[in-house]
Order: sequence, then structure tokens, then C-alpha cells
Amino acid sequence: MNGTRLEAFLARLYADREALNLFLRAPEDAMREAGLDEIECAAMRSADVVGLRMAARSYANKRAGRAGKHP
Amino acid sequence: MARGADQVGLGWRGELAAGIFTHLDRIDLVELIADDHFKSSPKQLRPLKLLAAQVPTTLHGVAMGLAGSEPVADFRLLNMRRLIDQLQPDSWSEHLAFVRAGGFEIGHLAAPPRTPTNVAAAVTNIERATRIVGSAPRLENIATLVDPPGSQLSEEDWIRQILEGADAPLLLDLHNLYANARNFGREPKELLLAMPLERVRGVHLSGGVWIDEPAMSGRVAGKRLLDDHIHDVPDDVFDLLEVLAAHAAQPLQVIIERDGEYPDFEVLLAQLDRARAALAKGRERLRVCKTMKAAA
Repeated sequence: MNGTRLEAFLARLYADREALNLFLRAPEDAMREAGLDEIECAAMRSADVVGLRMAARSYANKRAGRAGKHP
Repeated sequence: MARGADQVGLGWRGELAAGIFTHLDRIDLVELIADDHFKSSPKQLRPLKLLAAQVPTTLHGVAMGLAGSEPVADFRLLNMRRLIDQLQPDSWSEHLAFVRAGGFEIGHLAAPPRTPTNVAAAVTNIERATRIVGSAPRLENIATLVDPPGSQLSEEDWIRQILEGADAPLLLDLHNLYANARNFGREPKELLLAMPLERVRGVHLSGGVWIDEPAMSGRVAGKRLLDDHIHDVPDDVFDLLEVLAAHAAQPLQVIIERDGEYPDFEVLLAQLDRARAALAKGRERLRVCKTMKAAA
């Protein structure tokens, strides 16, 4: 597993609503497009999808200034 | 203030400035968000220098991404160094988080997959930050709504390995710890006691709100606790502070963070007093425990 690649994949899901929607709709396509290896794909197949959606929404709110300014 | 005593203070926010300056007799220290002041002119920094001359200060960074697997850009570390040179705080801190990767800016703190590879990368980042900034950061545990995919280490083992690898102190955010425990089926006190408490130097207290999980087919929606800094510190978190004070003998610097929906300043002062009371109760438990051990 390559830490940088999986973090980049997660960062994209958190920052890009379309990327998150693609992952939720067609995870295998999204992971293949991102070049994840089999271990990384396995990690994402068992991911906490509810948490991913909630985290992505929370980050979007932060970026839009709709939540507390500081962590 | 007796040397080596616990200290309790507030996070500096413009909206709280008047209250802070008026009540410095009840505030032991102030934490400044460093990133808010990286581009400040000497004139803009003057009020903060005035503050720093009257009360101990600490600088808190929010965007380095020290726990990311990518190297932190030099300019982020140099910004912190310059601000430290100008304000001469007692310490500085950052988060155990990644905030960007692969060219994507998350815009906030995210929990990376907790792996040995990530530990090694975080240690490298922190060691470099220590060299360039001139002192080791206090490193803060973050709250997360998602259990990071691909994690191979528990949160407490991941934190301990990074802190030991980088020989860095811990800024323990008790609401972040509480939120993660509640969100992922842990007992908060158990998680607290599993942390490397001997490395704690600073403590953050804040509040949050329970938010609904999204509806998904075949699953009953529950709630998760969001750390938002715009609600009062809950009783459970003050209880964790008491437990911490009963188990960590070293002096603790406690900061209450409030980022919005500000109550009357008296309410914040009352929360500082509650923190002092929790510390005092914990210190008494520690004293009794030591006395009993000595007598045994």
C-alpha cells in the first residue's frame, strides 16, 4: 500500500463532490481510474461509507465558511 | 502563578479580544491561531505583542498537514518560524492530520490511514519541522467523522508511535478524543488512559453537536458527534480532564476553544473555572493515590 496514493484518493473524495459521487456509484471504476493497488482497493471496499459522506460534507461546509473557522 | 502549576486559558479570537484584555487576571495563558497572522504587518501584530507581554502565549497552526505522507512545504514551516521570532510564544503546536494530498486541498484536518508507512512519513515531517522552526511542536489528536480506510493501527498506537519517533509532546484535545470514542464504539475514559499521557503538555477543551448520519439503504441511520467549537464544553469532557489530571503528574496548559455563537464572556470565564475545578479534583486524586502507594 502506498500511503501517498491512498491519501490522495481520499483527499479527492473529500474535496471533489463529483469524485465522491463516482466512488459511491461505481467504486471499482473510481479506484481503477485512480490507480489504486489491490490492497488499497480492499481498504476502500471495506471503508466506512457513511463516515466518508459525513466527512466530505463537513469539509465542504468548512470550505464554504458554514462551520467554525478553526479546527 | 506558581512555577510548574497547571494553567487555564482561552483561544484568542477577535470577537473575544475585549473580554480577554479585560479579564487577564482570570486567564493564565492565551492560544493564538498562527495561520491567521502569517501575513500580518508589524502594525497588525502590535496588539498581539502587547498581549504576549502580559500573558503567556502559545501559537497553534492549522494547515501544515504534518501527519500527511507528503513532505510539508518549506514556506509553511518558515511562516511559523517567522511568527515565533516576532511573538516569542512559550510553545507552538500543530495537528496530527493531513490537509492536502495529490494536489487536492481538503480545506480542513483529515485523519490519514493509520499505517506504519504513514507513521514514518509523519515522523520525518515533524523532525524537519522541529529543525526549521527551531523547537518541537506539540501535536494534537484530531476528531474525525470517518474511521480512516486502510488503517492498521489503533488511534492511540498511531499517536504513540509518532510522538515517540519524533520525540514530541502531545496536545491532547479531549473533545476530539471524546468524539472519536463515541463515534467509533470506544469508551472515552478507556481511550484516554490508552494515550501516551506522559507526553501531554497541552489540553484543548471544546464542544460539538450530534448530527444525523445520511440515510442509506439497508441501514438504520444513527448520529455522530461533530467537533464544532460553537457549543459549550460538555460535562463528560470536564470529567475526562479530571481523569487526565489524576493520571498525568506533569503541569498541564488547558485551553478552551470557542469559534462562534459566543456566549457572554462571563460564561467562558465560568468554563475556565470549571476546568480549574476539574484539574484540582484530579490533582487531589493523584495526591491521595501517591500517598497510599507510599504508605503501602
